[in-house]
Amino acid sequence: MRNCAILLLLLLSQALYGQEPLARDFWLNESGAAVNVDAILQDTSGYLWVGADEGLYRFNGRAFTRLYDTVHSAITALAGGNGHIYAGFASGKVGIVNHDTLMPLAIKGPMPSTTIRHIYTGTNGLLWLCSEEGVFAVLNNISSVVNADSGLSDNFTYTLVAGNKNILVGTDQGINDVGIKNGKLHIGTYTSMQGLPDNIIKVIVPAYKPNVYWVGTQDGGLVQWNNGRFIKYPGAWPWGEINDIIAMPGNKAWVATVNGYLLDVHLDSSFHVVPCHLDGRKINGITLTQTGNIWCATNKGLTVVTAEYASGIKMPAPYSMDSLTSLTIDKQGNLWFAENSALYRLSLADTMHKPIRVPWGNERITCLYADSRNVLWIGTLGKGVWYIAPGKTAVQVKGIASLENGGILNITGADQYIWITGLNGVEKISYSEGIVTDEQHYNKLSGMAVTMCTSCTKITKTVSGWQPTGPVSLCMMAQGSITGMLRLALTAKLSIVWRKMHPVIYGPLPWIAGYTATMGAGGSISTGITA
Amino acid sequence: MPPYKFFFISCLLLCNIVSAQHIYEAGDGLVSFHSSAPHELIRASSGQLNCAIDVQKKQFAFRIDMRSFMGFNSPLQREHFNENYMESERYPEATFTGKIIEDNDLTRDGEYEVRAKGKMYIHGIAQERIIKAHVSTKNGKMSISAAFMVSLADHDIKIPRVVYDKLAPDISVTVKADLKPGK
Repeated sequence: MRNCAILLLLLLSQALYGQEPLARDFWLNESGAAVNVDAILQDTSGYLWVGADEGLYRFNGRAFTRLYDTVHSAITALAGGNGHIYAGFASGKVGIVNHDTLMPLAIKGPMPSTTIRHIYTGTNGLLWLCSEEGVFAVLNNISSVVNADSGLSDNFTYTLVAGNKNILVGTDQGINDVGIKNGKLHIGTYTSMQGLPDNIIKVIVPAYKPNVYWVGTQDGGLVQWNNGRFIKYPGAWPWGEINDIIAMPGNKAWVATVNGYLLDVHLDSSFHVVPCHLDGRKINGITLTQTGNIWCATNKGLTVVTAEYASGIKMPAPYSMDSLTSLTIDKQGNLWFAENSALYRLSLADTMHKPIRVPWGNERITCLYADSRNVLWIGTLGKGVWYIAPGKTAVQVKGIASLENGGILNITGADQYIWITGLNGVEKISYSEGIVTDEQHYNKLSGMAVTMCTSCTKITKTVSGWQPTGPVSLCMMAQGSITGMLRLALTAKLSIVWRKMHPVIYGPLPWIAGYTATMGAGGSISTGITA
Repeated sequence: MPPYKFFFISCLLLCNIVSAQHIYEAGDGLVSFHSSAPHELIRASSGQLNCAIDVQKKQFAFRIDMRSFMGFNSPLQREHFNENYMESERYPEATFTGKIIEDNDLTRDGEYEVRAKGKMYIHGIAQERIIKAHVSTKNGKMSISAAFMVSLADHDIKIPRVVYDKLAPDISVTVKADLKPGK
């Protein structure tokens, strides 16, 4: 019986631990020492702002720049709005970024002497500051305070969100709904008596529906406040104190906890939570960037987690990420992956996560692509291209000179065509009912910068292919021919080129040179960068 | 916490004693800690925890003299504790002051699970902590107990590289105290 209990505990602790996300750590200083980061945000220009114990940093995608400041206190809150970046300090002061300097705001009136927990930028330049001494409103550099003496249920305020005619404040004693009624301040209070799972309210974030909010608590987990009704996570919340929430469309949210969990939450008729664990870290805050990455402010610095991989599957031995050469997902939800010459299929619906080895040839696989008809295309190091149609065995593509025995670097699809890039250039082929047709071949002779091409991707409806032909050049194809070609020096700014090529689509990219590019479902471009 | 601040809070709490019996206090609470590192187990305790709880205002203050910890494996270990890690000469006490979150009448007989929220000063560094505690009240006496972890890094307590395997980065602490109404 005792052994059973131990076994059960072990299993539970394993389930709680969650999955390992694809994450990368950033260090804010050259020594690589841990720096506590409390706040993070991305501004409308794409810059990341990082509030740490040691000051405010700006990240341009390549390097961190520490801003000069005269306050000399840890930064505990950040907010963007009214065209400015505001920083809250542990000392209770508030700063504003002016060029490359963080200047203290000169405020007349009451100001907190304790840590600024949260800054909310309202309309018309109104600033709301949450502190341990209540909520401070600052307008035109003049402040006033709402605290327990005014009717707040507690002076310790963590979070604030403004509605049309009211503000919601998270405190140590529930949520305060602050508004004006008959010309007087009116404060309503929601606590565990009204259905909250805990009275310490650390985060309130509007969901993507009117009058619906995600609420994160200290000890009671996550709750959705839906038109006055609290929908609680059923049972005990095992992931710890909630520090931050990002609301997502479709009644989803990313939730960060003190215990180092980044949770992918979906609420339909019930809660669905996919946990990722950042081992040994407390997550203080999170922000979702325009490229879909989640940046986590932690007690050990910054960690970026690729959102798409955050729900990844931890492969049991003997599989490991180190030996993977390629992977793709087909329309039926199968994950195909290759380890050198071995090809595996894993049904993502299969909760056992047991990959099945799929017999085919014996060559080293370099790339995989599942097209819209669920045909799996296999690129190899020296034996050209193979394909596996649904329910069929693997077949090698023959009769196309550039592909036979060629080294394949990338396969992708655009419209009805398959684009294959490799050492011999780019091949555009079509496939129908087991017949492969050679449509067109591109190489240096036909106008490309170089013959060897690492990858290509469709970027708009009018342009068929965008082809990085190596680390030094890009080609653009339109209407079947190469219409634009640019050589990029490694040190040239990709952003300049992209804006020049297509100013509407491409915004400023502050980093240096891209090795690969792809387009997300929303039309945003992601690029692999050198830094 | 600076000593003057603790003194100030204690004074405030003591002032209330004059007017009402809603301050519970003890001067002999027990604080124990242990560090389970791969190569060494360090444990020590002190029976000199000072504590005061204002049950009306739901405020509390705890203080322990760092030099009062005894029971180390050896005198040398105690010396290292005071001189190298805690720097007890410079930071002679650890304090925890704040408020009780839950809205219970702790003077009534019963068992209560509460959260104590406040600033914990160890090694001169403050950390905001929320610590779960069990309170048992019977016949006018209040017993409290709590267990929590203290991260050395959070309080800027440096572990020399040579003793990495002898000192755990997180120390397990337990607190027990029997409090009586102030007279």
